[in-house]
Amino acid sequence: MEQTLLLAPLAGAVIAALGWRLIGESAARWTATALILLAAGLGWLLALNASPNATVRYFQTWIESGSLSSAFAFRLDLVMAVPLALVISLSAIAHVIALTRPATPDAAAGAGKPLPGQEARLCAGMGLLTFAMLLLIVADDLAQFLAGWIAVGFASYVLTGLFLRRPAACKAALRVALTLRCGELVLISVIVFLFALADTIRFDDVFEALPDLEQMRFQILGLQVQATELIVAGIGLASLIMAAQVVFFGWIMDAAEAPLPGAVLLLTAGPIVAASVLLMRMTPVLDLTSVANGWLVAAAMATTLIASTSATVQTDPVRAIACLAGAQAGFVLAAFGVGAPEAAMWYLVSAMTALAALALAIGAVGRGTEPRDLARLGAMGRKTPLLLAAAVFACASLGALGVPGSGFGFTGFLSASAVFAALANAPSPEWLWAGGLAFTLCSLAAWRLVLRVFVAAPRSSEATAELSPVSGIVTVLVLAFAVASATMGLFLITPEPVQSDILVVLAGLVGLGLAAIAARAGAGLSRRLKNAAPWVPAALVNGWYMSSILRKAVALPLIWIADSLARTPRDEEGQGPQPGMLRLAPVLAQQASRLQGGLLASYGVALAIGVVVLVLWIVLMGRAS
Amino acid sequence: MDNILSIITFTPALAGRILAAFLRGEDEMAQRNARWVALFATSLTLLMSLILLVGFDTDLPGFQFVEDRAWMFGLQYKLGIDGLNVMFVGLTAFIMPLVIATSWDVTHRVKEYMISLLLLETFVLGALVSLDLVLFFLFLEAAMVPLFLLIGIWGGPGRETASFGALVASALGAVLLLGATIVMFTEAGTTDIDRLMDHQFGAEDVSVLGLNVPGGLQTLLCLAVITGFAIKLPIWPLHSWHATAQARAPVAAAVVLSAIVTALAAYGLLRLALPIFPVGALHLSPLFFAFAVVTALYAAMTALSQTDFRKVTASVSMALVSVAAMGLFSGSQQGLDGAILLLLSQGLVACGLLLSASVLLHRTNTTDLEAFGGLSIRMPLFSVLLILIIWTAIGLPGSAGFAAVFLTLAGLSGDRPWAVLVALVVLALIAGALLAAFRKIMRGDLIKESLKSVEDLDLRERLTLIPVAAAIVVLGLYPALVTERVGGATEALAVLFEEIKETEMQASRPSEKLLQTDSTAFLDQGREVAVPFSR
Repeated sequence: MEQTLLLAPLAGAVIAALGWRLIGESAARWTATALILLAAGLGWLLALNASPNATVRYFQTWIESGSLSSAFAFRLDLVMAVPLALVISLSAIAHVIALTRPATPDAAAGAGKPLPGQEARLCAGMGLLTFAMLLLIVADDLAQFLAGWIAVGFASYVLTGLFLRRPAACKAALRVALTLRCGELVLISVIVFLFALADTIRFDDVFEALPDLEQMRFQILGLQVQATELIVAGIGLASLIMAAQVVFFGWIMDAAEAPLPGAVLLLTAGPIVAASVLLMRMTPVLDLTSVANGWLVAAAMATTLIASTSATVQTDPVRAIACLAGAQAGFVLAAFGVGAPEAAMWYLVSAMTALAALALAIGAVGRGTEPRDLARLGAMGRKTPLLLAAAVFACASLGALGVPGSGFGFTGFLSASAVFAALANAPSPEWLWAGGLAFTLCSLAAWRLVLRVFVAAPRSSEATAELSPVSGIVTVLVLAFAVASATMGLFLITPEPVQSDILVVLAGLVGLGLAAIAARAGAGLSRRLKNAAPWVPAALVNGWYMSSILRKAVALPLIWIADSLARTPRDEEGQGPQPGMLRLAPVLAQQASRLQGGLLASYGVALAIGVVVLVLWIVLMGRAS
Repeated sequence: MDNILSIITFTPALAGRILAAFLRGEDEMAQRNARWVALFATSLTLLMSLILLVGFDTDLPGFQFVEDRAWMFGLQYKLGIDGLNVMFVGLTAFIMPLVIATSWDVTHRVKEYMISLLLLETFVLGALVSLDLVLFFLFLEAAMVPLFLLIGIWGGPGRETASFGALVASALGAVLLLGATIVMFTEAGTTDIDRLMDHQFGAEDVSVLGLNVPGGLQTLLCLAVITGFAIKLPIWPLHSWHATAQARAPVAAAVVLSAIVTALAAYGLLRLALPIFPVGALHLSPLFFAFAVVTALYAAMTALSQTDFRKVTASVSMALVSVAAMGLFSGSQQGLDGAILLLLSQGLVACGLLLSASVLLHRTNTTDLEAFGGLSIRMPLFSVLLILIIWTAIGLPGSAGFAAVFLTLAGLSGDRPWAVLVALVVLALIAGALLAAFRKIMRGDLIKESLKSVEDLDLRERLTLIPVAAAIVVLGLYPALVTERVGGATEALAVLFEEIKETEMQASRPSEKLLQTDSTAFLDQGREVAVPFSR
């Protein structure tokens, strides 16, 4: 059963990617979706039967070299059953939606037709992402985890760049791949560092070695640093990159270039969940450290503010949801940083399912045509009340509607209360207020989307607001998913009434109120803001220029060095790259090459001279016997 | 099959002899016969290599399939394989039929072209399986002659300079290797590599031109051997001939240079520098690491700014080989296993990228990145295969690159964590260079008129690229195919290196033990050290 669960999404991806020409695009998509649904069924079965103690099934030895050993395995416990169920459920819904919605044309202006095989490639990308996520969730050692982690990066690259003709999508795919690549390389360095210290890469063996690791110290730039602090710093950095935090925030906005079902899966069951799983898995190490955790919380909380402010002004609903995903990831990472892994995982589940429900409800509107512009959407609630209800449920959960002190409310309320309670108990209580502000802005951004799409009138005269020809079954499916996401907390989370309840609910309601005011004010408010301080909306829309900062701080200097290394006269002659700063070598080589006149005889002479010199030297040194 | 190594080695040469003796004229029939004979001979060699790989006993220490006969001037004709060379034999035999197939369009002096390739294969295989130093040296240097001809006759503009550059570079390396060979013979009284490994060369410090040389003769000989092979790898600053040759050579010769000659040079280091001069290798390893690091960073950086796909390939190949070279000198089993896997993976990647360059060249007569754009719309299969090869270079799980990179870095992490960071930067730069090149070639709208009629891969191109992709995936999913075969030999080398390190540490700085950190002590406790052979 475990093997089938793991391999079914991969098989679906391979069939969709390579088999659509043989069996037809439609058959390939149906096959891939059927395999995902099979995996979803098996995944839920295993998740429901998971026990607190991990069960491990080994399939095949993979990498073996000396004391380093890795095997393909399926390790599941109650904690990992949560992301397993999350990923497999979101993947199943995204596949079904992809199967039923009209394909988006592959052109910058939205005109033209989809390329042949585009929808099959979408299924392949989503199947690959699902497989990669499952691979890392059920990993028993760090090599398999790393394999899943890198495969998530590859699947993100495939999905973001799915529109082959669109220059924006092609550039976005490259940026996503390179940013996530940095996260992959940081994680590799952590794993090999761990191997050097503990001589193992199995999770359980690493945790057994923790008492020894805790005693180790390293001298770095004159500072004594604990090995465990270094490990957590590495894990934290890898997670920050994968979860689009701080300067790495840009990639998540680029991920919005993917077709809607792919974007939804990427944003809610992709790299962010992978980062959370890494932190969850490494909780025993995180429990031993404090300094690195503090940095993790600071970076995550900064991102909640960056991302939530950015989400409030986006005109593309998918980009707005991408920003919201980044902000929610910030809360999740902060919860890990303050030592509340259970709260973090529940918050992850509630936020990601609610975001997926919101994205799918909004995505069903507008016929999937481009550009995705909020100004062209509006007043859809009357045409499709079921989708409006789905969006409201999702927002109610995201906005943490609930009754303070009672432990009764939507899932988001229960999970956010737990996260805020952990933030309140953290050594730096100011994070609580920063979190409250960010939460208000998230609530504002989410409700703004619902009000603009379903309630307020379209702002553009070129309104394209039409109900996508989705079947009633899909509408009901989205609604059911939204309701389940918003209410599951009542059954799964044991409520612990805490004081931070009030802050959470208040923040959510203030966000709703601000969104209602903004919707009533119409376009005038944003016009006034634009006139008063034009740089503010520009900075917000571009995610506080985090991508530009990364580009100017890292990419451009590298390209400058690369260009100066390669730009030499010899290169113009086609002699290949020569080092700009090391010009002596080619000059000497040129001089040396003049010693031979292009004749084979000179080769022999050079050889003979060399031999004579060496033999003479050896004899003179008295080394020959 | 007592003579299987000789059969594998000389089958291509025999086919070349048949072509030389019986094929006359330059007509179409003669050309076709030359191609088919060459393809048949290289395929037969591949088949026998597969038999060799299957028949290789992973539990048996030492050399297998040994052939030992008296030769001329009292020299020995001794061949054999062990974990260090068996996979490189497989790589060479695997790539050569693909090289022949990709040369199907050559129409100028086809017979001579095919004979050159066949002789090249014989010489490379001969060098790989030789267990006699003189035999090894002869095969190694003879291999440069057909390569010289291939570049000089069938290369692009500026081929004469490139071919002579390659020859001179090879000559410089040969002088050093020959010098080292003579000294080794005078010292040990034998050129038998197996016996040389058992001989202890002097390791007492000596003074040369007033400079103290720690490790004495071992260090000097090791330096000569390393420099000789570093030219062929290539390592900065001895690399410029390689870049020029890569750019000018026909695709077939470029594949051989990038995939096979580099593997052969790395094998030379593995076979001669490390086990015969362990003390010298230990003393020189910081220096070698420094050069390998500069090479890797320099090559990866220049890959970023290349505007030609073949030059991107050359730079990436050079960077990956340098990372593998770091693994070779890590002294740990993971590093050695990873380096061998990385050389195999790099060989497949270089082969795949250059065959892809050939596909582009065949359709557009250029590999300039600016000449392309949007090709994935017209060439979906090529697009899938190329991105798989590119992600293998980057280390995608499920491809040979992942296990190779992971093991190499794990091997480096113990003693040289800074080298891990350098290697990671190199891998990030390579990713940037290759993915940017892929975007320029494949992605975006199909605007250029000249590209609107190009066709996807034809049958011959599929038959060359799909086996590369398949090999990449097979090695990625089951790297034990390699690690099981090389494990015994690399473990022995790692143990030897560890022993020498311990001895040197105790001899030179006995008080250093007191400064041993907690982490080192922990490492010593954790590792079980087996001693498969003693010196």
